Amino acid sequence: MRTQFQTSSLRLFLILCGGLVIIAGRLVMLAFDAKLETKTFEQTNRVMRVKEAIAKGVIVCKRNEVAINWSLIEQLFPEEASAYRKDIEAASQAGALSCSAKPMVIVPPDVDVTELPLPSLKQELKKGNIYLEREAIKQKEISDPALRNAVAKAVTAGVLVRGVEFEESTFTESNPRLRQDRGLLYRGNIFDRNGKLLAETSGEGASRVRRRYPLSEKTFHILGYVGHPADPSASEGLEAVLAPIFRQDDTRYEALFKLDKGLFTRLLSLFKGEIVIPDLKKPPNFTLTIDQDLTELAWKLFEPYNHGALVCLEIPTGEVLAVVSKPSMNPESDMATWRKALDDRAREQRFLRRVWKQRYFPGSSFKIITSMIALDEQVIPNQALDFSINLTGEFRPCDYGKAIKGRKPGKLRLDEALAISDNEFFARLAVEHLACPRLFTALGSRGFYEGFSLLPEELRQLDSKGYFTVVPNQLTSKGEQICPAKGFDDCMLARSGIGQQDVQVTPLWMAFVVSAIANGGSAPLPYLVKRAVEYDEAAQPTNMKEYRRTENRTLMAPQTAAALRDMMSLVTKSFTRRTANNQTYSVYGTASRAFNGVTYQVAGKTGTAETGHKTNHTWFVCFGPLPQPRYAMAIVVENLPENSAGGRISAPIARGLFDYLVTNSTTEPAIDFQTQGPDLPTGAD
Amino acid sequence: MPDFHREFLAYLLATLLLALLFASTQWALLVSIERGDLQSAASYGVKVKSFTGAKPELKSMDIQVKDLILQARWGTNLLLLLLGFILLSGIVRTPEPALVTRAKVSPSPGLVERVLSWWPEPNPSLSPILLPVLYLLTGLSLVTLFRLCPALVATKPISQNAVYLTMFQRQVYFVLAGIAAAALVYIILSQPRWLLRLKTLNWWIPALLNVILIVITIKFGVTINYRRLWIRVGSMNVQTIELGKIFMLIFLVNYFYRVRLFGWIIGWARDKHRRRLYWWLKHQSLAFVFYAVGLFPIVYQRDFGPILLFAFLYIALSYAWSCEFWTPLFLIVVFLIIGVGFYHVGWPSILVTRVELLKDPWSSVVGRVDSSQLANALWAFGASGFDGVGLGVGLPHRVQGVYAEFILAAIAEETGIIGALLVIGLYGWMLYGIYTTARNAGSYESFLGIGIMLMLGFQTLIIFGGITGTIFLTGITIPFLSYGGSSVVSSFVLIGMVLALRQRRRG
Repeated sequence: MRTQFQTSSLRLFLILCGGLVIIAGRLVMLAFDAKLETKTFEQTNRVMRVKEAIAKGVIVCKRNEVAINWSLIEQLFPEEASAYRKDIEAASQAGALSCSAKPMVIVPPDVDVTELPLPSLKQELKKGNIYLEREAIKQKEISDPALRNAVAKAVTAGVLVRGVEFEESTFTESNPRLRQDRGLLYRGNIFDRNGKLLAETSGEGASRVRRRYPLSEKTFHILGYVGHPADPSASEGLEAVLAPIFRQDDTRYEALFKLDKGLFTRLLSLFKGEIVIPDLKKPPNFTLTIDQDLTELAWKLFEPYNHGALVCLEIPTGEVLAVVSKPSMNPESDMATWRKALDDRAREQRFLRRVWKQRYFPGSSFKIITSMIALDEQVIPNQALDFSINLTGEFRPCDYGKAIKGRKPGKLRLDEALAISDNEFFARLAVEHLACPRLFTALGSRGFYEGFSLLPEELRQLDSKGYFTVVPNQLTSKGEQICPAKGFDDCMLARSGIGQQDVQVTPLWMAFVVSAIANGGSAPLPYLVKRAVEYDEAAQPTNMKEYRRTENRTLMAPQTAAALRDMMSLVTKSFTRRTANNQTYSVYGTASRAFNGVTYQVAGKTGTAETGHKTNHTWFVCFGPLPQPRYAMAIVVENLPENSAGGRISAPIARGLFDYLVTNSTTEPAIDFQTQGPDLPTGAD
Repeated sequence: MPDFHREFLAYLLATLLLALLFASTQWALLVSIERGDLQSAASYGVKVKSFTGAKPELKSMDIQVKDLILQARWGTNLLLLLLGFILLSGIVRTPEPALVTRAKVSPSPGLVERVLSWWPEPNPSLSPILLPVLYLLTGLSLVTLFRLCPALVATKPISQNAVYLTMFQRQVYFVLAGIAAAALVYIILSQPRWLLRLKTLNWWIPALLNVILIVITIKFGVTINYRRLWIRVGSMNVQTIELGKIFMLIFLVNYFYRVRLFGWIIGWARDKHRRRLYWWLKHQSLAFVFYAVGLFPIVYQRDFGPILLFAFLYIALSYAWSCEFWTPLFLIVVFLIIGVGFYHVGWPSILVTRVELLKDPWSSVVGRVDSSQLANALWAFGASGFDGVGLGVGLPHRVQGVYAEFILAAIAEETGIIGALLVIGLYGWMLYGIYTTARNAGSYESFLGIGIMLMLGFQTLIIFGGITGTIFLTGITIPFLSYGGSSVVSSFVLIGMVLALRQRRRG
């Protein structure tokens, strides 16, 4: 018995040892598995929660915007309300929720759906027989009268509604080690184009080291932040993008922590109570295209308004000179402010980079694009500015909805129509001259639906979260697909032509369009980072990289650009014209009051977009000073009272900036890539 | 070399290694906290007076962390730990004083002699390496916690980090309490009559106690993370299964020991080929029912680590009992059927969740937890390489629960495969220590010792397998390594039992 037990106990011990050996093998396998590092974790659970919330009508599309019914969450998912709330909030913050172009079936909790034939409704949806038109749900080709009734019933009951699209990749977690940040030690400074500090690491005394941003909230949307009091390891924006570059040299630093290296020094320094770090390399510095003074001025001019965006480009180079995105956030705020900002993230949208991440209705400022297409596609032959349309004062392209009102009946020239921003003219231009698919296909071929990155090629791969990817513009129903058959009627086309309802663009794209107009039809894409300077161990600059856009993107023919330039220059002027009968009449450009009495000449276009919430976004896009324009701008001020117009709100901001630019621009030559040496910023340390 | 010298040498080496690790950790932490400031200083080539001068400023989180590191005083705590283990070794190794012998023969001993008569004689069968190995293991746990605490404090919001602030210090106290418990258990079980009481304890008593304990927990426990596994005692939450585990062990050991003797006496071996199932039913079914009844409340608690552990233990002990393969094979089939049945029924849901998680650790599954815990742990293991990223440099604190079940991920990431294999090796060595001790002890004692070896071994295997994605992940503590008072103390109680396993005195 004893020997038997000894055998069995030895075997059991060996089994345990075998288990340990297996674990050890597994550990070795994991440690040398090169693929492990880049794997990602998909949070299917959270994705399913958001999908369920969409299916049950918690997240709906109202007036072209995603609306979340928070109170419904508690009612539907009483046990896991907090989890649902957290996930939906995260999705909406990440911009993963958007209104889709299709209707969908949802099941709200208070609606009795037993009578509705949901499966067959879903089938019809799939076939495309139930579709969305002007945010209303329409049906066609449904032969079964009962089903027709059911569709109507479902729409009134709120079971058939406009769908919400959800981008699932939001809830993907990646290895934090890939974006690990060694903290502030290896962060270089960031300068503006004139060598003024935008971000630096400084501090005196132990543990008071901070990343400092002299312009505080004014550069927040570009620079981002590195660590905030609530989460010291979080980072965003350029700070997050550049982290791997700042990291490149710190392998030496890491080696200091290994067991086998510098052990004696380490013990000695602990014994003495001193820490000695051997020679460290100076981190690289970066220079942005931003102009600090111009940015400060733009923010000052923007002070009366709480929400909005402004971007100023240098036309010949595509450099972004100034960016305003309000509301913003001071990255050096204290814990309470950060907490509040993070809590209010969805509501306040402080973290949204409006200039290139937010799509706005362009309103009348889209008329330059309508004109551009009409001129460039030879719909208006030979770029003739005296092309005119007979107006009736009211345009009703289809038999529902409000008519599009013009200023007055009679004949109106193209350039005058743009100067006074006549809605009827451009609605008729879109409907009667640019037939349906043309506007959209032409836009598509000019890169209207494509995003691009504001970063140079080398840095673009580092921007995995897409902080600097410009979101593509949008037509809520993409023209070329939907145009001929599926209910994209003339009404929609007319409204698209004047920048309402279906078109949404980013301010940056509008600024790029006007800079292309100013530059003879093509312009370099905007970019943000100008150069990087690397240092050796003696803190001497060794390597300098200039990031430059070398290629232009062509949007239109040079003739079209010239014609548009002439047309847009009328917007800021008041002038007199003679009719054929030799009668004189005055034309007041919509921005003429704002640019009253200036010594230079600016071309632009105002815009006033109705948001549908009884508020307006006012636009002004412009370039100048003529005849050799150097600066292009796009200015959007959000949520103003209904009577506000671009000419009165946004244009004065542009004037303020041009006043400054014209008086101060003589110091620096426009484009001089070759002669400009490596102007290393002085006082960079 | 005498055992005493070997033990002393082992303690010395372990202390040196631990001191080195502690110093490295502290150095790394101080540098990483101070590094921002050091940038300017280092660029001037100036040595920085680092942390001794600055007055703390409580608003700043860095300073809070730094204070913590300074307060932690690893040197003192390491000495405390060493002292604890040396005392324990001393108690185990010191021969009984003359007083004790006198007390035993004296017809009327005094009070001092009465108390001293409890002094156990040294245990010759005890492996000399067992206690130093445990010292190194607990020390490694403390080093890791010492490194993790500030990182955890820094990444969590202030409101949630109170527990992390004191984690290291508390673990030191837990280990000291564990050592005291081990000493107590050793002294008590070294008394032949107490060992006899344990040996003759009816097997259903600990089984019943376990059930009562779990039911009390379900009724009056504290719920943490949707699960009610703790009872509040004073200011501490005690995980009752850690005590229940010991009850369960005694139940199984006593039962199998009794049945084995019984079976031997009436000679079932003679006709085992004909009546195996009959014997199994007769002698094991009752225990199996008790065992299953005992497990049921734990299933209700959705605490699958202990269930898996008890299943392994049951199978292994039944093998140790019968020394033939058919019974454990039959049991394995039974357990598999039960497990697969539960999985297919889909109750409890956590079982399904965990199995799905093992199938694909790279996506969360339907269930209550949407946890990237395992994925994070795998990333940490993947980052380890041969010698790790360096102490204080990695990101192990991104793994949720890294101070408890996932502590191996922290060790592996920062000290590499060397550190991880050291830990695995130490566990192997510890099991070997228990095995040799048990092998040299008396028959019941060796049975108990093998039971303890199996329990600690399986516990280690289950959790290491879980966190490396080898088997499905179940929440069970790592003996001696993971943070937690209940776990540390109960593991030391088991070790206290091992210390008392000796060859019965003849005559």
